[in-house]
Amino acid sequence: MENLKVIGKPVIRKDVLDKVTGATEYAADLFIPKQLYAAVFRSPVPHARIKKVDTAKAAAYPGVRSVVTGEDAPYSYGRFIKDQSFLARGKVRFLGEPVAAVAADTLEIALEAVRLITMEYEELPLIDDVMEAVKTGSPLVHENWNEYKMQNGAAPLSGTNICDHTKVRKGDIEKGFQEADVVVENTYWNSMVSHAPIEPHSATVKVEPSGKVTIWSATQSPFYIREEICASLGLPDHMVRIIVPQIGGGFGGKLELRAEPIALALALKTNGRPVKLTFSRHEDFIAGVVRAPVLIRAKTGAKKDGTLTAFQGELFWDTGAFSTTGPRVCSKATIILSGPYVIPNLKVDGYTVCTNKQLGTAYRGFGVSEAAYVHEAQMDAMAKALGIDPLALRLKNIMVEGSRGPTGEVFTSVGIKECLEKSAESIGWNNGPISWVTKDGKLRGKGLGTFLKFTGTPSYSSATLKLNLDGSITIAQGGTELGQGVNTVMPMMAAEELGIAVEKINMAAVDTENVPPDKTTTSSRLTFHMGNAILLAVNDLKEKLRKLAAVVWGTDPGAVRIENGILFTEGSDGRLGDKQVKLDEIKKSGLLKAGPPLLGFGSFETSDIWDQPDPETSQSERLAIMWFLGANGAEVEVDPESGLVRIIKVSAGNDVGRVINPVGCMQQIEGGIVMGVGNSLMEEMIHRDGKLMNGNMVDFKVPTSMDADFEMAINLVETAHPEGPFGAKGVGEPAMCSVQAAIASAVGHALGVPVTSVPIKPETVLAVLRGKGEGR
Amino acid sequence: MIPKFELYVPKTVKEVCGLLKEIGRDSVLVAGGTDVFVEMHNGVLNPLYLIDLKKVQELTGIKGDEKSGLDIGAMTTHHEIETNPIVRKYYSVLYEGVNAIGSLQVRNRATIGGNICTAAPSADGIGPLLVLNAVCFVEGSGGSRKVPLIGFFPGPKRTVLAQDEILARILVPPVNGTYGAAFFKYGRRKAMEIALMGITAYVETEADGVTCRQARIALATSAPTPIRAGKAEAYLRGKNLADKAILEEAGRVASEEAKPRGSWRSSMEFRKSLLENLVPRTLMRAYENMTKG
Repeated sequence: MENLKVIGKPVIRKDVLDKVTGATEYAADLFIPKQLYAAVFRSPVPHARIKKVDTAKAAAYPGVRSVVTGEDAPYSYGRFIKDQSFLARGKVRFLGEPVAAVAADTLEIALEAVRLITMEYEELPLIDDVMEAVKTGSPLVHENWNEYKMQNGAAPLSGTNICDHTKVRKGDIEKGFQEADVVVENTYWNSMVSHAPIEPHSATVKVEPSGKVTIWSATQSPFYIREEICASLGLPDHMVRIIVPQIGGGFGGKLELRAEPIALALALKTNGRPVKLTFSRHEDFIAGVVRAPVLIRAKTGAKKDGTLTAFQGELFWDTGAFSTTGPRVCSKATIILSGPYVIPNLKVDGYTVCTNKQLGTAYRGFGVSEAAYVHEAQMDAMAKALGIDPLALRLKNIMVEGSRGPTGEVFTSVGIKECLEKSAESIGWNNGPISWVTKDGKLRGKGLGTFLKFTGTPSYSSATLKLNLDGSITIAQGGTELGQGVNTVMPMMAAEELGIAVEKINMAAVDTENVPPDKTTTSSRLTFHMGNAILLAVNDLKEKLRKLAAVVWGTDPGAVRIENGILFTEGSDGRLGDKQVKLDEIKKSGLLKAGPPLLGFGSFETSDIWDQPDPETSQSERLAIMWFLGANGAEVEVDPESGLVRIIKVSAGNDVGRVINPVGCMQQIEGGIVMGVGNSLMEEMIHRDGKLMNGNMVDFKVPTSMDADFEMAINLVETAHPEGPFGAKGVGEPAMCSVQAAIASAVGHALGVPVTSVPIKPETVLAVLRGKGEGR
Repeated sequence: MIPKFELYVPKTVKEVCGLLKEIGRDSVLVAGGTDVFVEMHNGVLNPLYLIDLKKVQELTGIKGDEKSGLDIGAMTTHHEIETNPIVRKYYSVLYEGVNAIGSLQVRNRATIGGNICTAAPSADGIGPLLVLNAVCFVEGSGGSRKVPLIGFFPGPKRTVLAQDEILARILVPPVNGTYGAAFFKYGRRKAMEIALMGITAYVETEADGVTCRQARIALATSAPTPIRAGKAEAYLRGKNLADKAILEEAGRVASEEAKPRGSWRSSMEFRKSLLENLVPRTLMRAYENMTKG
């Protein structure tokens, strides 16, 4: 691992020039010859029985080529429960649900024709409060779960709105609380948040006469959506091709099908003409996907000396109208709700609940940000109750090498203590009070956050290295570039391992027909999983190069070696022999012309290490190939007159295992911090009577570059992962998982009252300061 | 999607007024377009004709100085105003106001005339002009007239302009360097924000440096139109501006006379409490700016 030439050295991302000059073609920019334009008639009400959908006028409108309703496309899909139809059938379950769609010669015509569609309906009771939705006798979003085809991964409770229940049981919870000298208990709320990527959902679908389906989509996970489409239509994998152009941001929101099924329903009826559907910004808000709102109850017990004895929690995950990936998000949050602390007795129940709202699904952090702010607010409350410094309380209970986590797993490569200490040091935790009043009357506070997260396991990645005849390399793989830098990091790893320049390696466009399978671009998994696949592919390629050289040089393959970028015959003393070729100069050597073209293939998967968790306890010897642990610190200033919170500084301690590209790594973390600030202070989707009030970029407040005007102090910790490529772990989500927790902690210290609702609103702050509110 | 429209690009004010007389009923004037095109895109506006003012030279430029007063063409962009040295030095409150608009990209397109004629109660550019006692120079096919800015907004999102009239220039009176002013915008983020509430304060003192000779307070998003808080202004006259209690009372008076709306964005009570808390602070900043200057 010493003398690395590429890994750990800053490399400018390969896509930067195209992106900053606006040359990059995103899915929404595509034009496929003969394409038609789609527009969607969406439900104007959140919950209703459909009586009649009248599309006759739209179908007769000049320039309209195809009109479909749910009955024309009787197909369903869903990650764990196949509860979604391509277009609504029988019922609508949220305001904005697609009911009918039009494909026309121009977008203007399509939009005009959609206005001519009408729906007769009978309104049903609105289910918009997650705590009402779980009550016995609540009206139901889905009357009969048994109607749907189930995949493994979610188990709905019949006759309820609960589509899954995750349980964590460890030790003896009653004994744990009996042993406690102090118990703190609170209820917390997280609001609904839009991913708000710069590019809305966009898909273009072509159905050839043979039945072959081609989809150009800004999807994070082409192989996963291919699986869904194939299951829906009953097609074999090779009859569905997903092509992924450049993607304008995903953050988890482009994991699942969204625009694709609607465009496909139309394209099945356009005689081979492609159909393009791009959501408007408003459609992206009302009918895209979101980070689900959640109510969490937490109860922590500790001894006088600060030793944690028990943690109990309940999560009510408001996943909206359809189950989507919600059950898995809730499950992850449930498992890690107690945080990166050693707590012998746990009882946590997570309920994923359907309501008549936007669809909650994966969002950068996958439930961890929401849970982290809860366990951290509990730690602050406990510190206050015990009269112990909040950092000291955390450090007393923090997981270390060999600790058992919430699922009973023994942890290795644990860098959290250093992450937390550095995060605290970077905000000067020990150099003064953690809350004070400035000369001009502002309230300052410092806070800390930690998190615990794991990557989805089992999963798989594979990669092919094509050795071009000039010695350059093209990597074919299915991980998608979302801005996170995968198209730079993968070539770097291959370059290091081969000993050639990173400039000689590029990534092929992602197309399920031409690249080998990959599970998904989610769960901060690519650097680790695809990285391993690439290293295996490099080994395979080296092996083939050695064999080729042996033939040409007339020697035994065993006598040919590759080291430090040189292919050579081994001399008698183990040193360089008489034949040697630098891989960087392999074209000149003529070696490649002497044999057939070479490919290296690498395939990596993790089912062999996975111990399926017990469904009653979530206990597992090994739940995940990789756990992420990290911390943040924050200093904030609260204006007691306006209620506004200003970020002074955010620090980070991220255990990335091994830094591959320091530039990309720092940028990833900076971006995560700013996104966390947005979650903490601004972003919230607001509903009245089932209707989204702020479905636009003015009223849904994503931070601007001007809001990133605070100081950041990022500490990279490198606790190598024994199974990671060069020891690397993921950083995409860990970059932001405890930012919200740290900011909420800092505001809590500034106010003297824990924050129990996020985002932290000025109204709440003023109410707390007047002693009327309790932080929500 | 922007609906189809017919575009006119007149070159003189006379041409503009002639067009307005003829087709004004079905037209929308475009200055920077940062509101018009957004509203057309959203389906709020769907005019038959757009009249683009960008080629009308008479409507551009900033003339004059602090002694003669400023004469600002309606088509002057916010970026021109915020980078104008005389504005920066002598009318810094106007700089503060226009600098709070949108983002640099928006300020590079949007104009002060557009900001005024959109007549939003939240407009960041209007408050500073209100406390500077700006006057609108209006031209029509029948001649010109002057309208004080405070009398320019008869109702929400409405102006006093007749069908054939346009706002040609904004006249800002001279200043003598013995005033202090400050602008405050309340929003959740630092750019691309519509003011949830805005306050502009202007004060002059007697020779003793503390007794208020004149105070002017303009409030944004605090009534259906941009307003002046006349009662609070009257209360302050003759009072000691260095006395915190006086400023706090002015805040209570301003909050009392303001008529903010309650909506899902913010309750009426919250907006009123912000006014009560923040009018005193803005007055204090205005007073400090004077004593500094």
